Amino acid sequence: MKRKTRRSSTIRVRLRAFSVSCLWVLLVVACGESQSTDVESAAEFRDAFLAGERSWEQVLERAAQEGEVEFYHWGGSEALNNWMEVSARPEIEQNDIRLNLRRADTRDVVDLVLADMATERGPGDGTVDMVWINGENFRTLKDNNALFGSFADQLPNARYYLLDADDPASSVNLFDFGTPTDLMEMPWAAFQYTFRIDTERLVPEDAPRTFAELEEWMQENPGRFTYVAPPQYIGTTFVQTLIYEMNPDGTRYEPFLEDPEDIGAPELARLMRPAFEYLRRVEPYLLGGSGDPERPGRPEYPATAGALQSRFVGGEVDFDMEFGIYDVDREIRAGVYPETVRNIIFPEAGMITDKSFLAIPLNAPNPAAALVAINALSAPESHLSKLVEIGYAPGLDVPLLDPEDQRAFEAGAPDLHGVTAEELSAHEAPNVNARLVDIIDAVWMEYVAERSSRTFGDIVAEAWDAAVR
Amino acid sequence: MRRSDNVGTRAAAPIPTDHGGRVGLDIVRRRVVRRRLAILLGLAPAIGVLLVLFVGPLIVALVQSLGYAPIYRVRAFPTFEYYATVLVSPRFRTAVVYTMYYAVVPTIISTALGVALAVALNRRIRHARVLSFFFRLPLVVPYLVGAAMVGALFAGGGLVARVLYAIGVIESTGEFPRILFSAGGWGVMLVYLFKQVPFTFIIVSAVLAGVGSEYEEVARTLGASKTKAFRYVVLPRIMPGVVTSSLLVFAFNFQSYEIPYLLGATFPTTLPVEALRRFNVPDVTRRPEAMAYIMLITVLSGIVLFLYLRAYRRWERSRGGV
Amino acid sequence: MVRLSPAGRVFVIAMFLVFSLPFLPLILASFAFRWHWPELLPTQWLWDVRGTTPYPVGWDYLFSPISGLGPAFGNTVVIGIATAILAVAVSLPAARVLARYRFRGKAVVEFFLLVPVIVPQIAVGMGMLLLFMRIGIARTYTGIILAHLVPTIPYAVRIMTAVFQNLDPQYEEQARTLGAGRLTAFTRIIIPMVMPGLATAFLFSFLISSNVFLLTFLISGGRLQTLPTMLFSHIESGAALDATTAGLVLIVSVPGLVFLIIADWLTGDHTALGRTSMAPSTRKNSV
Repeated sequence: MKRKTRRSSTIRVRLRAFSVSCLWVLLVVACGESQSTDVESAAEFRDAFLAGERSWEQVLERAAQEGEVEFYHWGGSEALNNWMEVSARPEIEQNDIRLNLRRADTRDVVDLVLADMATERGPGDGTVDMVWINGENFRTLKDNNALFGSFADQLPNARYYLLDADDPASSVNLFDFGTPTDLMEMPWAAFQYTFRIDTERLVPEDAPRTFAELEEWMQENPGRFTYVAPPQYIGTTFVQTLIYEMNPDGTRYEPFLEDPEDIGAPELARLMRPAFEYLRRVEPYLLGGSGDPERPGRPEYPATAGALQSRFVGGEVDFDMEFGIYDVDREIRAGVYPETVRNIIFPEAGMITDKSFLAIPLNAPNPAAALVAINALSAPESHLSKLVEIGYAPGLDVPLLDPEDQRAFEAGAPDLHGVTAEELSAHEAPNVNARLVDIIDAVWMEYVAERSSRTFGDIVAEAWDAAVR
Repeated sequence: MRRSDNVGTRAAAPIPTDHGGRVGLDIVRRRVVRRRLAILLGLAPAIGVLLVLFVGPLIVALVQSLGYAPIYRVRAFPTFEYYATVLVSPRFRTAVVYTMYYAVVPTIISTALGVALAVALNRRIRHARVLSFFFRLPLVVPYLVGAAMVGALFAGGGLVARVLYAIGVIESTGEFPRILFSAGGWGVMLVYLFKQVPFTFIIVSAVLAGVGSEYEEVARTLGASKTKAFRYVVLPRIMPGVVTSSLLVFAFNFQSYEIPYLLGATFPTTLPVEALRRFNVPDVTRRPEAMAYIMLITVLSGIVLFLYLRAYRRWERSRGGV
Repeated sequence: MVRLSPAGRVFVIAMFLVFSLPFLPLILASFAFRWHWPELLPTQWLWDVRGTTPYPVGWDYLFSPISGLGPAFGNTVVIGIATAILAVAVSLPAARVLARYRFRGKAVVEFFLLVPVIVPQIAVGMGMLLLFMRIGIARTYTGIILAHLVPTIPYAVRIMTAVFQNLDPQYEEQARTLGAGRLTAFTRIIIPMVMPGLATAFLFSFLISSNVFLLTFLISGGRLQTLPTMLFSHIESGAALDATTAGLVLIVSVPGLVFLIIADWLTGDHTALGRTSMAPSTRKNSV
């Protein structure tokens, strides 16, 4: 009996040895076939590049060998899609790389990367080379160790960006919704959340400047206002802005930059309660509401920014909201907005400003090409054409440019229609901590949309639990 | 039916008469085997493909809903936790009510209008061909086309509102009824009607073409009123077609995603929209909830269809008894 | 002949307007540049502003390489044709068996071949996505084509069963007695005889495939666009009377329009669509 088991176990060992050697042969054959021996694997390249052992010439050379780059970006803007084709493509393709533009929702791209990782597709074996990203989507990738690494300061065009951790002015480039970027993403465009009105229907002097004034205005003009439903980010940002103004301590955004785990659920509930009570209180006066403070009715919360815009243009509501101070100019020229639309300063307590970034996933199939492409999109000329043609404010730091280039950016900036650059920067406010976003969305869903009968504290506690878990 | 009977008899006919004994039996057996083989081989591709592509996914969803989803690091099989979470949530119950509402109301309306149209066009009418071409047009375009049309026409600032404004019926967009994006779901239902009235019309017309208008004519010449002729002569004959079309229409409406997503309220909304929302939560360990949702949608839809068919059977039997 | 009453006539005409008029404003909108509330007609047309806009709009956008319309159209056609070929190939033998033979469990088989039409597509689609992710065909043409087989096979089987029921099996028998092999009999006799029905089944499968949204949406994960998924994202993010969306709607309607014309021409009969699709099931539904 014993002998038999020993024999069978030796057979097993031999079998294992045999299969392992078979595997080796297979691997060698496969590797030998798929790549010529002098090209290093994506993983090796990643390690060497991140260790600073690859010159930019070597990166360029490898990028040309990779030959293409898969660039995923949100494709909901015809203006942006056009710019990608007309401007970004030649800038990237002059480096002997074919640019494959993929339009997708950023959350889907994150899913795609994570799904690839879940099936053990590591460096070099993924689907996505680079993605336009920020906020909680970036955080998800970072938390799952799904990013290529700290590359930003190694790009030649990094010299146009403030990336010095000791300089407070760099923070907008180094923090993304409170998450340290650790140079794993490159700033690409800057946005400020603005409200727009149509002066044909609403005189700028009569436009509210604070949420308190907005509430009065809504009561006088029931059914003429609504906001995008969270979790769509335009809606979440609206709620964030309100939370800042309604902060009972009067410290505006300050407490919300911290990690919610450190704030604690009861404190968070205390800080957010006035804002959410406001949202419930104004429901009767929103589009589709009853107009009667006793009955909320069924107010309409558009699901996307586009859906709100179509109601604004369709004359149903008097306010539109979006990220982008030059949007008004572009949308008028594209025939989307009537010529009478203007930006307004609202709310005075803080108009959220943030940057969005370009990141490389860990399993990018063409990492060198992605680096080269991001570098190309980080050049001043690229940012200038983006500003002039589609009104995306530059992601680089203009003061670092030559005086001549600085003047080009000044001259190229589109009209701000109704506000000045000084006013806008005077009312800047940062974004909340990325982990707070899911909490705000969950609380809004239950407290506002579902009108849950549970206490506000309980709702926040549950959302907090789910977010920090 | 008659033809398949023929096949059977013909298969039996050439068998040698029985004094041949074993040989004849062998041939019979071989024929039986060959016949079985033909049936099996013929059905195999279609059944096989559907087993893999239709039953397979349902099993995957079922298994995940019971807590086996290694891809999301969930290994709790078997657990009813996800079903419990879904079933107790008020959002699920609201969604059930709205799904039923969005499914049933347009089914009734489109069936009524579609039957009326088919009956009306069963007569000799000028330009019937042209008319029917246009009536069939909505049938061959995606539902999304209907969504775009309803959006252009019935948005608060859409063309219908503009016409009403121009002729002075309303003074601002606020006075135009909320058709899109409202809990009333009229926008969603309009899209369904746009597609489904023609669908019902087509199916009932096809049945009517088989029935012909002679019975009705006879009934009318014998003095039956128009409504009586319809109720006692035409309706029973087209009933199977009406049941089939309304069944398919209901089954579609119950599970439609894109139309309530695009034209319905953000909240409350229907089961499929909620299911896909659950599927898109960032916390992947909660995705089995989405699977529980879709299993519940499937079961609910099955129950309703079953009850509907049973009611129809009863009705048919009671009629047969008279 | 029973004549249509005046009220009936009004009803028919009203319905005609309801079902044909909605295409008109979309045709207008597709050429409009500015059409804001409360204007009944566009105030500025595309040809007024051509070349002055920051980026091409309306038809110019759609027909520029930026819109992705070309690939979406190509994908729709390729996937539609592949789906139709596979669906017909798979359904043909099944339809022949269902039309020719009586056997135990036939009702069950018929029912099984019908359920995919009734079972919620979202249930199939989400399970399928997970299954396809496992075997690595999510987000590929193969995956989408296989997904489209689910809603098409039931119709293809139905249509071709009706065709075989109308076909006299004696022809096949005679060919066989005259010495033709099973295969020869099938390809030389049966196929040519069922060709019109086959064409209908093919066209109908293509039509269904070109209209499917949710399955494509789920399986493609945004990586492959077809006309319906492209239209979906435009409606989701666009204004009601947006020129680009309106133009896209008209283009998405093209396959259906072509189908309708071909089907009418093929059958010379305007009720053919109903008879060949679901109507045969009206003889005592087996569900």
